[in-house]
Amino acid sequence: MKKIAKIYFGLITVLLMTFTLGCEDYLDLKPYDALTAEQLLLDEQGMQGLANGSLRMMKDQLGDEGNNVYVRVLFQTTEFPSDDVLIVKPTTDPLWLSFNRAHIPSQENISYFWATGYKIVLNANTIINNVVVDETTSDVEKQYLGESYFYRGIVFFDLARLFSFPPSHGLGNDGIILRTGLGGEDAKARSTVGETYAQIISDLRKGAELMTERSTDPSKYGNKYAAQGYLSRAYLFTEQYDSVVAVATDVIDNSPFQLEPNETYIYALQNSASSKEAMFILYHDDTENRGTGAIGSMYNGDKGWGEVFPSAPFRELISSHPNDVRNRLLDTVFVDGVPALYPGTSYEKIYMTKFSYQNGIATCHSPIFMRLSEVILNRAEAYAHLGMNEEALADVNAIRERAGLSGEELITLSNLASHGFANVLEAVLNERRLELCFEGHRRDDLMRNKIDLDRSYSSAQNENGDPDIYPYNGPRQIYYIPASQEIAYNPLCKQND
Amino acid sequence: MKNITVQKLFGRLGSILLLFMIITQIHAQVSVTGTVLSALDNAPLPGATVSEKGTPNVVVTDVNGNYAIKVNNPSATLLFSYVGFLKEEFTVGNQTVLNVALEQDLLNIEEVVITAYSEKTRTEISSSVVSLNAKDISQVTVNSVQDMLIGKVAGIQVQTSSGQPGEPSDIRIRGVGSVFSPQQPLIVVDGIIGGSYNPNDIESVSVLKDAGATGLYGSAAAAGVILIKTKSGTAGKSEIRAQIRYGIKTPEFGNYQLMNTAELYAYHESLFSPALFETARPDSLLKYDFDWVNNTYRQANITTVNLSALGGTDKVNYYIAVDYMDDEGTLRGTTYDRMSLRSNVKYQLNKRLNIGTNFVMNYGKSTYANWNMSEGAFRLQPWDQPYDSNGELIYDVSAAGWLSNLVSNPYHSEQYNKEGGYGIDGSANIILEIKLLEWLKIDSWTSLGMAYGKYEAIYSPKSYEGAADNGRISNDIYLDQSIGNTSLLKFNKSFGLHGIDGLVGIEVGSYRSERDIGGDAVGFLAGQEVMGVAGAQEKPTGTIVESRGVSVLSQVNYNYSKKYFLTASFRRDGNSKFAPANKYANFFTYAASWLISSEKFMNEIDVVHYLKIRGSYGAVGNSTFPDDSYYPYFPSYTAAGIYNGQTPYFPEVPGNYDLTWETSNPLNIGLDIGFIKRIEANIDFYDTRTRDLLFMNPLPSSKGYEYQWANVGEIQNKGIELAVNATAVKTKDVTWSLYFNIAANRNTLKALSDKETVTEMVISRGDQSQILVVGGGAFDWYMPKWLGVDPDNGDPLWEDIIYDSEGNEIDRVATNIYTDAAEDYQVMGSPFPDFAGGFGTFLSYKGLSLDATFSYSVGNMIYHSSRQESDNDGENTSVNSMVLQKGWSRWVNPGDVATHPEPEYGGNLNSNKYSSRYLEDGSYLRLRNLVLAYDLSPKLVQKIKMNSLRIFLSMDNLLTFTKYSGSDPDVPLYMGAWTLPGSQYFKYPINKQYMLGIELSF
Repeated sequence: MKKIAKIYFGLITVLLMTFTLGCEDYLDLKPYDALTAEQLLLDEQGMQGLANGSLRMMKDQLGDEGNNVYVRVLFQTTEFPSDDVLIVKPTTDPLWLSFNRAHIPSQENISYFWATGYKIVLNANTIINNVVVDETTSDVEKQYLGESYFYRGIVFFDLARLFSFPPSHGLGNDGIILRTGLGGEDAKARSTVGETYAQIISDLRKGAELMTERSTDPSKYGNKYAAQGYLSRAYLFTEQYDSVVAVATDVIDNSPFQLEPNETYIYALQNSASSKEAMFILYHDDTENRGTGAIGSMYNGDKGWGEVFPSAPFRELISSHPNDVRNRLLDTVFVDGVPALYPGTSYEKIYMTKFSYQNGIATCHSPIFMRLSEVILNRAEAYAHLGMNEEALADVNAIRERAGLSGEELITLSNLASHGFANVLEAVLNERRLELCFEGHRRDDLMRNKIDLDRSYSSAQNENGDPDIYPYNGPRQIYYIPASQEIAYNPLCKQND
Repeated sequence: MKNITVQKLFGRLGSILLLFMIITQIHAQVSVTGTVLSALDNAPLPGATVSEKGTPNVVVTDVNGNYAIKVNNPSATLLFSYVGFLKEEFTVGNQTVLNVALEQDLLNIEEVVITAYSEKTRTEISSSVVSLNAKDISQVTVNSVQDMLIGKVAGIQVQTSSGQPGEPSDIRIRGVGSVFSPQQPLIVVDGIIGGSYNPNDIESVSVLKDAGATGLYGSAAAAGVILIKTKSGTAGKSEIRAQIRYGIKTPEFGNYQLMNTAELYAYHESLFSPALFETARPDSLLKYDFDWVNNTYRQANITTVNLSALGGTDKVNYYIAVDYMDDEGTLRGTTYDRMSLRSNVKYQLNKRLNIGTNFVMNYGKSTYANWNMSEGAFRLQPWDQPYDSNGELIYDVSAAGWLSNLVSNPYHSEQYNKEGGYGIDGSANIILEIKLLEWLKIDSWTSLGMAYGKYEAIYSPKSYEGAADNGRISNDIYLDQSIGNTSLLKFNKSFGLHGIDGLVGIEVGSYRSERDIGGDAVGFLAGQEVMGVAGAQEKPTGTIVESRGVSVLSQVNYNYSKKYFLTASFRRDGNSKFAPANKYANFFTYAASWLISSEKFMNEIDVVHYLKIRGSYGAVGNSTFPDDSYYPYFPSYTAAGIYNGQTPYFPEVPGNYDLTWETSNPLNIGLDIGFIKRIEANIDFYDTRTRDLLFMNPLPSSKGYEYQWANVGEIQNKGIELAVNATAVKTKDVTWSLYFNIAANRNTLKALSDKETVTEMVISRGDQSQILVVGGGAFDWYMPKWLGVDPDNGDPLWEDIIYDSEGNEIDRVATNIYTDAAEDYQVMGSPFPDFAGGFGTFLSYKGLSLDATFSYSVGNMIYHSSRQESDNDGENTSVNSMVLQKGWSRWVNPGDVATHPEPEYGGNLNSNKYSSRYLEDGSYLRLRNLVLAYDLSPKLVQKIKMNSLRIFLSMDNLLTFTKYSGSDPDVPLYMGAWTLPGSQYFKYPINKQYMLGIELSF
């Protein structure tokens, strides 16, 4: 019996020993498709990968959540509350909530945008918090570091546009959560609007300082001029008009970018990768055609939904100058010589093609984030606020001339009233509305300048075109902070009213 | 210290044994003869064992049931046993002829059942094990053992997630013990963890529910274990069996019904403004009425063929089978074909050595329908026609003026597009059994498994979906391999009344999967179906995951006089999923039982012939993560997609080097009691605490990560199970048996964090939420509370809780503002049932038999999320609407007391947003299976030179009784990446199935 006991306990001991000593390596497996941040930052290629990662997260759908893509949500949730668009019927896509302003605290597209935005911030922070600039830092490394500041800055800016009122409403208002380090406590409060924009400006400046441009395709990546372009926008938001003028002038005079001529205007918008004026685009190659999920697909029924059309006031405005090349962005669909109606509605099918037809592919496009015409119009608005009316109108007319307008169609101080403008600022805002239409600027322009939103025209959320004036500071101008993703786990984060 | 005690014990035992042997030798020998019969029909039992108790003296009865045995003295006790019959003991005394009639073991008390790494009779088991034979579970025509167990075992819940043929079901044993881990019971086939099988090859199944039963599986056993034993041949007779089933199935929509044109038209008239209605819904629509649901889901066929040969000699036995199934889905374009081959052969090389081989290969091929077919059927409005006036399928639905919110005609696309996949998996096992000594042997098995398969989707350039890309093809290939060895040293020895057995061994396994290999390609002509012909390839994909495990395991079972049983198991597991410091863990389990009915004092109580009390406790683990987490501890930056031809990297998961196993401590106390040899009841009480949950600890998304894997929280599942089996009548011609089981499980969250301040957490999927509250149930529904409809104006009403400035609740009021109620989410019920189970009956008269199985569930709350779309009060007028259920009504005039708000174009104040409005009682009773069978009488069968011939009609899911408004109250209970337990969106419905079958052997 002794023997059995001995064998038994002996065996267990032997097995345990073999197993604990001999098998360490056997169980030591590492993933095939993942690296730690430390491994990644060992060389330039890893830094380049991280820099590209930020762009990719703006471009692609992460996970499998509906049609949510950072850039799509950005373009829709900023544009659809504006007075330039109508929708023919309600949809189950949460983009509908931007039309009827029935926001909910856990809105799917908004939650996705918030989460992805901060994922880009974390990605940028990985470089920003690990790379120290000294005399050994190469220009290439500086470029990637600068890009990281740039991407963080523009994401903070986008988040501030969606979740906070602009600085003109008060610098003490709630801004966004400024996550600038790696790790840190889970709970973190929102900074003020003032602090938020200070951070945005600081990031964009660092970006502009550190970046030159990547060797080819500068507009497809963060670059010095794009950062300056965004700075002109940030200064405009923060009412630092002299700074707007300074930085915009620098870009206009010294950057390689220039306005596209009239003849190629439409083509260059649709094929932004070859545009001379596009300073920063989110490049999609021709295979990255998003089908019905494309930004253009809500506007254009060719292979898309075609359910969002230009509003009646916008059509009236743009069609008042038939020579304006920008009319050609709108294609009215005719059947048997008569404008076709969207089935079951009285809305004419007018397809807006600014975000379509990259290389002829209906649902493919590389959205433009920053282009020279915006920088010019940012300067125009700054001049207008500074009372430099002539300069403001010169910038406005540069844009109008390019659009194919001439003579009395151009705006001078003397014909201001006959164009229907009470002051130069109105002329600037009018030009911004036309030139930057559907790009999500209109809502900002009105809010920033404290102008109420008038949507007294027919659209599915307002079927009869009843008076619909929403105050510039109404709570639903901005979105709720995602309740179930942020507020629930971050008790310090205050919800919007 | 321990060693000394053991030596002393064994020393004393030895002396007792010796004394016993000396005494028995003094007496003269006595001869006894007799016949062993069956008490039921007095038929002789050939091959019955007659043994002298406490000695190796054994004889076997001859063809006529006769035996002759010499015993040492008249006080010897003879033990008569025969498979399927109850044992009997008689003292010889002065009898020389002893005829014995054995009673049938109607309750299978003496049955040998499979247990972890061994086999035992039920009387020896100290834990909660439910064993079922093929005849108990093979009536249904299904694809998995999970589906075979529906209604049969107390404390399990099986959910069919979809009617897609070949789709696996979800099974839970004793509630849900983890939050995010897809904790599924471990399936072990002939000793191989995760082995493959065909349902028709199953000989028996054991469901192991408590720690005493599962302990030997250690770190993988927390969700319970299902053991499968496949068939094998027996010596002496060879047989060829054939079974053919053919049947039809129809989709089962339950109470869910969509509107026809007249209904939808009238409904829309009530919500559009008159002017808009005229343009939006011209009366020309009334000319059309297409039933999308019943044209998309329709009657389908199912055929299965199973052929097998089994038999053996005294040296070899074999089971060889081929199985084929052609299963057409009720949804257009969905099919499943399956073929399996199996060969189980065992050779006895010599007295000491057995070698066996098990080979199995399965082939499965599925085709799927696009979502716009499966869900489109429920969305498309009946006035939108698939065909134009020429009878051609419409391509451009926008030009055709479709009003539904679908960009393409699913029937048009169906002609050109394909989606599907196939897979082959197989395993080869070599089994070695070496008998070292009479009481000591080695069992070792080595398995090599493989699986490969391909998924492909082809969007033809002729289809709407493929047109934009000039054709798109997506491929996804996986190549899996696994290797494992289990080697056990098993011992089994008795010392007088003391019996000791057990095992010690090692288990090593590795798994490697190359997966998602493929990508997309675009630009080809219709009819071309491989990536190579495409103009451009895009998005190459592919990754590799690996996992490895090493374990030592041991178990000791002790019994005294086969009355008192003790079991202790120990397993040490090593696993590659955790960080180096946390790769190993130990798991101990203990069980004990007392077979009271073997006590002398129980001989007086005739009414109770079997009584056993048992208990077990221990620790078992869980390390299953959702599919792609093979390295959950690793803080990973990964690459995916492309930007301008370059590779982008980005943070994926934060990782956690402290991550370790989730551990369950199940306590189980059970009682098995058999009355009047006809009724058996099994009662189990259990209390399972699961600690260190594998938890996707949510982070505020501003951190850049949504969650981090961590060991957080504790869940308790406490419950009671009762199973009753009874043989009401058993005569030569008539058998009538019944069974019933019921289980009530209470799921409670005991802790949520190591920080005491954290006592609740909300888990959201899409717009839906559940809450984990310490002291409450894990996964309680959490939502705005619906208060119905304001009779004055038809507005929706929710509950708004008013708080004072200090945060104290001061009032609850009704509000028609959704966002106000959305600030006051409330706990609204549990997705889990109060109790659930099954019952059934078997009745036979001569060759004719009827077998019925029911399953039921009471008190589970289902969130019927498809109603947000199809019962939306006008929010979305581009989808079809469901017909109101009995008792539902819409508000029309002031004063109306209605269940549904006034329908309004564009929606009535967010009335269809997430709230308890769509939370419904999911209780149901279902006739799961009904079989009518006829077995030809043995005489007749012999005339046609056969062993048996049986024809049967088997019907699945024949009747369902429920108030739930969806198509099926049987809703998945797991936390998916996009779904919460108990939530139902549009479902590919399950089927009613009518199968006609013939089964013969010769």
